[in-house]
Amino acid sequence: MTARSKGSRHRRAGSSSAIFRRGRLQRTDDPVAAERRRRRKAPLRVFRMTVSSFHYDERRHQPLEFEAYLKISRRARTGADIKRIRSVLEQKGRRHFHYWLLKHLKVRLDREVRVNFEHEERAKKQIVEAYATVRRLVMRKINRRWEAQELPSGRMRFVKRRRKHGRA
Amino acid sequence: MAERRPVPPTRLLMVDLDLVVDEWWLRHYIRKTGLVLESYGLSVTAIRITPSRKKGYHVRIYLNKPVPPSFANMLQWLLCDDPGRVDFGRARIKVGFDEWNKLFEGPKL
Repeated sequence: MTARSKGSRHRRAGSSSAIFRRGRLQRTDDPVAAERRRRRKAPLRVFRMTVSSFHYDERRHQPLEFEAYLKISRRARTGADIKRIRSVLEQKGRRHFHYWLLKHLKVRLDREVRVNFEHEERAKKQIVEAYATVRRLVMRKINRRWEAQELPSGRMRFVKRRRKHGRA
Repeated sequence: MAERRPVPPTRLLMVDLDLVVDEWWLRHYIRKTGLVLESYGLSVTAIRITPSRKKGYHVRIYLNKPVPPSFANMLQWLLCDDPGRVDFGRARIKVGFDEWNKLFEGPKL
């Protein structure tokens, strides 16, 4: 009797998982699943951020402005989504800016680092990017006019790296 | 050395007006903008004025045909754009930076 009841239980469990696998139970009233479905369809937007800071070149006696332009396309529907992505991008962008200048130009920024965002547009390519492209310029004031000089461009990781070992 | 790509022409002018003015002044601004652009053989397809983050307005002017970037920058200067912004735009165009026209905004809620 016990074996029979066990078998029937197993059959029941097996049949329900099979239904899930086949996708028969897709239209559930589960609010979490509904939220996930809604999230999946959020439109892709291009986020453009500018990180900049003034610096004074002691050797040349020139004011400089370092600028980094970051661009990434991510899914965002509401104003809250945009705010959330902006704050993450700002946090990572600031750190990346400081780190890059110190590593490549041996410049330690002592002034305020300004972060500004442009209006988010719909992305042309429907690809969610894990890396932000970074273009960099340095502006020098020569004869009372700003002159730009391009610095090497690169990219910045936006999403967290997956861990192979240890805790997730 | 990497080859510099030319900056593509644009149909959109972006002007940063750093002053809050009366509404009827803005109506005059729109009319005069049309006249200035007409004198260069251009016409306006749409003008959008939005309040900026701190003070003043952001003006987006859509043209009937694309214009070279340095000419667009000069038109923006004629239409009372922020002078610092114009100078930075000029420097960016000179090094072939295609996203030279920067206009910063808060998140749309």
